[in-house]
Amino acid sequence: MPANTLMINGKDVEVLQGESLLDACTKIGINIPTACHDSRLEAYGGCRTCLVDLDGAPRPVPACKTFTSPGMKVETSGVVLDTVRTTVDEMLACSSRAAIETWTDANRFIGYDPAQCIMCDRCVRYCDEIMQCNALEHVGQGSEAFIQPTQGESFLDTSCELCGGCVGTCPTEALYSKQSLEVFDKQSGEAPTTTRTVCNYCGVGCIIDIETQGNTVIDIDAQTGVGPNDGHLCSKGRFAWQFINHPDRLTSPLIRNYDNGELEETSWENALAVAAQKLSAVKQQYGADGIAFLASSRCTNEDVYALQKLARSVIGTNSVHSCAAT
Amino acid sequence: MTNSIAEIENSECMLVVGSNTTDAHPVLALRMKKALRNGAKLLVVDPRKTWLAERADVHLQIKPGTDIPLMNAIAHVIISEDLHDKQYVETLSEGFEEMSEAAAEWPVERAAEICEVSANDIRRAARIYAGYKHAGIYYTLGITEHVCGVDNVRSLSNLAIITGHIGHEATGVNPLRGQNNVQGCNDMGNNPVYFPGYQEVADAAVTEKFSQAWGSKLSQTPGLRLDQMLDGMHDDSVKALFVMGEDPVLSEPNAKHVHVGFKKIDVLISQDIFLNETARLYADVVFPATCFAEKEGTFTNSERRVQRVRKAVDAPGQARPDIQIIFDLAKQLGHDWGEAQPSKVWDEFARLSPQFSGINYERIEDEGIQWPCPDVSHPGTKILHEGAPIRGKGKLYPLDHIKPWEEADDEYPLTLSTGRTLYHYNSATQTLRNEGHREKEPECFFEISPDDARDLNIADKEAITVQSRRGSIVSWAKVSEKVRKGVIWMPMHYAEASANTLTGDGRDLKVGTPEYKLCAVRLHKS
Amino acid sequence: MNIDCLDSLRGCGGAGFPTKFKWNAVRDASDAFGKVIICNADEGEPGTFKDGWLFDNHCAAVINGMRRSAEHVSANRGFIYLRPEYSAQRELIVEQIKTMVADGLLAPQSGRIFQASGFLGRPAQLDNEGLNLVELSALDWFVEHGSHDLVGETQQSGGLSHSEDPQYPLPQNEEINEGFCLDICIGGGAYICGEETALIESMEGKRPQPRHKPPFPTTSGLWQLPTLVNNVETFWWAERLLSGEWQEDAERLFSISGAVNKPGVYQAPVGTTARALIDDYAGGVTDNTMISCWIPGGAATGVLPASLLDSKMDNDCLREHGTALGTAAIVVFNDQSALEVSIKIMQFFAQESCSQCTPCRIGCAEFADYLADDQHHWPHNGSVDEWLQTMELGSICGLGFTAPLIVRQLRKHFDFEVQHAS
Ligand code: SF4
Ligand code: SF4
Ligand code: SF4
Ligand code: SF4
Ligand code: FES
Repeated sequence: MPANTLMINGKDVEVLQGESLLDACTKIGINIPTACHDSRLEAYGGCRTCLVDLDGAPRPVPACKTFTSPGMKVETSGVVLDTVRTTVDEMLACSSRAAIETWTDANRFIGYDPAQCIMCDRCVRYCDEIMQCNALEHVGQGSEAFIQPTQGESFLDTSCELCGGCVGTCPTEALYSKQSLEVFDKQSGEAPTTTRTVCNYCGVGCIIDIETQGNTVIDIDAQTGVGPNDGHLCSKGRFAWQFINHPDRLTSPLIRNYDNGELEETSWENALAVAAQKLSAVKQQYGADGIAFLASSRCTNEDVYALQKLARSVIGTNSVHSCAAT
Repeated sequence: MTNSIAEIENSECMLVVGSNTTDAHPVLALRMKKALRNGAKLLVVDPRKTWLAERADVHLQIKPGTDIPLMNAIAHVIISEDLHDKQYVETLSEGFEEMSEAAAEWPVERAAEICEVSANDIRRAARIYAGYKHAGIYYTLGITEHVCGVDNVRSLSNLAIITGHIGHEATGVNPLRGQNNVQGCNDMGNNPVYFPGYQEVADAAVTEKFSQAWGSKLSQTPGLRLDQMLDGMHDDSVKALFVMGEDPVLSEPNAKHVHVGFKKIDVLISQDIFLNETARLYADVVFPATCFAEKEGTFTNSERRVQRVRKAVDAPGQARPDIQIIFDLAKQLGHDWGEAQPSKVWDEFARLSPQFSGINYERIEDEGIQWPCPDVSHPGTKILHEGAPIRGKGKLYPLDHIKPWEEADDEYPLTLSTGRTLYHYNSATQTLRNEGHREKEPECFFEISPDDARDLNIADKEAITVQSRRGSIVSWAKVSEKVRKGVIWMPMHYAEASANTLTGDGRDLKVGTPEYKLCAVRLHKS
Repeated sequence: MNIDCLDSLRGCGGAGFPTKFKWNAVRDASDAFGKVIICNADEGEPGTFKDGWLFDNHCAAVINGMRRSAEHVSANRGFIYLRPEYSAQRELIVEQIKTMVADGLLAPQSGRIFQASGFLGRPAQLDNEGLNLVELSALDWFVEHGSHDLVGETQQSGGLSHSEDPQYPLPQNEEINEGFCLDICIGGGAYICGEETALIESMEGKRPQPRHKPPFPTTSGLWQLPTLVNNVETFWWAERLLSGEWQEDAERLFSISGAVNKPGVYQAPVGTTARALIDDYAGGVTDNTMISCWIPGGAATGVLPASLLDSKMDNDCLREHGTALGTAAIVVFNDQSALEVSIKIMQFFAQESCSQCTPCRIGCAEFADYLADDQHHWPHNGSVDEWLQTMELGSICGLGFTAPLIVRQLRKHFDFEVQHAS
């Protein structure tokens, strides 16, 4: 790709064709604040937080939506420009001025608070460009504009796939996860911690950030630029985490009471001893190949390695397999 | 996958076979959506009208189970119209003669008749696929869960090899793994004929190496595949089963038969995070395990990338990490493996498996690495078979049509095909515990074409009994343009109406993968 | 085609861009996939009604002007983007197009009616009630004070039957084999649809939000094709000049309304004084009352005091007084103060802002509140001047650039003091 040379704050910068002024600035370490910009989406240029001065342009231009061409001269600061940028920030902070009533929705994942919405359209564009679901729209005008599910229907009735990507890209708290709100304990004052790990559903292997407060999972999110998913998640990865803290979870070893046929709680010592004794008995009677091992392809590599090692080196059988081999 | 997920967005052409990618691999599908937005061509082979199929340049809505005739016909068009990559075929493949002769048995018209699609669409698809440099093939269970699963896959690799569509950006043959760690599970030697790292049990030197490393004499007798295990439970050769995180009575086809087997064995030990059906009914001992958010370790995704799993919360009650349980049990059985530390287990694996030797926890702290990665200075492998196939020459296979294990007939006139939906996952023990997901798709349904619904006088949302030779369930009818006439489709997630009650005993002739995709059924009003 | 006689013609839609340049720019743009002519008849500027009048009286001439431009730039598709309220004019235009098709002057498929999109998201179904999507409250005030109802008698004839339901969306890749295909596109029903790029977006079925410029429509307009967008009056003058019917410099059509005896559309030379226009053309001020304030060129040009009635109505003179000729729409007030009028205009802008960019979306609303507040209390840290400047420099389109003018004119010409937060 041919390179362009332009000048930013008096310094020459080499950029590639098609890169924006924002990319160019980032390249040389100049930090331009943004709000409506998401590198995964087409540039929008609406919030005006990223204005810079471009030589020859009648007004400041948005760095995110101005594409570089050779010989451009750009200043990222100046008396007037700084005032304009400060004022834009002040204006954005006024977005809630109209405190309009909008909608509530029956779905259990996504909620909307218009008072926080800065009409940056990231959610709408995400849904159109990335998901290609067109399940959100920007309606109304002026300070009373807001975001709603297409045609004002419920998320559950539109083409929405409940991926939560709109929540993920929202730069404010306007679109939020209802599940998180429910479990997040504001009062406790305990700050959430983040743990980076891998989604446990399908083979895409999305990198996720689990947010926890104490021992409770309060949210799952993903970071742009990280992992094979580049910040995207699907409905399962983002929202299907209630099972982690679910009351149905097994919390104690169980052993069958052959008198009544029920499974009953027992100690680890006993459970392990009984299991070992039963396996040994079968091995004695039928040989090692009378025992077979089935591992889930959802366990970690280390779990599976350990299990096949148990089968092969402790029991002595190669009968190890899993349910779906693909 | 021979390629990487991020590359997909640079495709010029995508051939998606038997994969409802937007539902089963939603985030990977985003890359396809992006490629589409950038003007890539899309070819879809699927009996169902999926999201992608609706947007495809050519949608070959074939009759289920006729993939090989179709692929043969496509190969034949490519060869007879001289669209194949002669240089690649000559220098980097073997078996071209036999393969092209077998394909020539399937002129377009003949395939069109068997597959029930238009001959012209087959020609168009062949020309489009051969016509672009960056043309990748993507497939999932839709292709493997058949009696001819292995040959199905070969029919796809045939196409890739004759067109030289292999070993470069966004171009190759890419199985999309259903579960998060199918890839890793195979890599780890969870297989009756392979030790970890794809080292064959049959190879005496390998067995010796592992015997040395593990300090015990290892067996060289090949083990049992899952289907053989299930059969073994019937004929008393298998008397004990240790199940880690699976629920075979729900997930395996022909449920009735599976239950009988479980009743016959002496010992069932189960280890899971929920009390699953299999354990509830048959387990002698159940170990409470930890879920992914409660343990350390690694998963390996479809693109062969080993990534770190980290502990975010403590396990509930007395639940222990799976690895700890196995170490405890080994100790109980007289083998003290020391401390159950995931990183050490990985290192042991990597030391013994040359293709993985370069990967360790430290290196994948920030970003996962794609194997093969033979040493610590190796960056990992983004694209397999770059320059030339790993085994030197790509093997082409002569293939022929194999009839499904059970075909629709007068008595059972419809073909049932099963699959996943977007909101649930396998037997849905996790997703059905999310209220929001249960709400979106709470109950089992089946899709039926408007034509069949009219002929059978079935209304949308009507409760219907679906019956096969093995069992029957009641389910809601969803009249939908998505399926073709003669086929009904059902998701596989629901315990109360398990599709596996209906499915049959068909298994891949070579590797025993169950034929989930197909069986013959009839419908009654309930 | 020689278009030198257009030298004196500037766009009559408000911005005043030299017409000849625009025509030549579109002619010179590369046209692999065709070019488009759009007649902007989304006459939404409060106080302005000359376009409706032109269709009532000179429909054929306007269309001929379009045909000439099409020939000049070699375009084969044309649209009249019509304000949805102009349903009577729609009928007239369809009639006219049919006649011309019969005479072989337009492509045979011409005369269809399409629907552009508005602000309520993607149009679900189109019903005739749903066509006018805008909320009119602030605009109503202008209507009450005498402007839009002045558009031709025909409009009031009411109960019009439309030959066909409008189609949505516009078909993009149509083959036009013979001649110039001219269709009607019913506007999205919002003020901003009159902004040429918002207009194009709405024709493409999107939310009518102005585009970032460059690129300009002359190189990348409807469906990225080079597109010529001119006002109705501009096409009319072009036709008169090119046909030789008018041989001097172009004049302007003044829409005069409000407190005058004979409101209406009058042709007069640019540079005539406002007083002459009001007295000599529009029959003087109603009941011989005193003028409290007046608007020179549509709502966007703000209010001027009666003391400036003798200034010439041309851009140079008006610029000295802080404003411009705009759409040449004079609105005369005798019982409303400059502040009252300005509040209404600001509220109108606040409502009509497309909400794409922050300065206009928030700025217009805050200034409307600020003007309407008895104390003129300014609640922000940044000063009024900083906010005005931010709107002028930081907005995307003309609405945001010029809205501050309302406040600036009040401060320049009237006794209006800024109160700061204490
Ligand atoms: S959840 Fe996903 S599909 Fe639904 S509106 Fe948000 S981005 Fe669109
Ligand atoms: S909801 Fe969030 S992403 Fe959407 S427009 Fe509002 S602030 Fe932007
Ligand atoms: S987030 Fe969705 S696509 Fe990604 S790994 Fe999880 S289940 Fe798969
Ligand atoms: S200035 Fe106003 S009307 Fe123009 S783009 Fe911005 S918000 Fe929309
Ligand atoms: S970030 Fe550039 S305008 Fe919003």
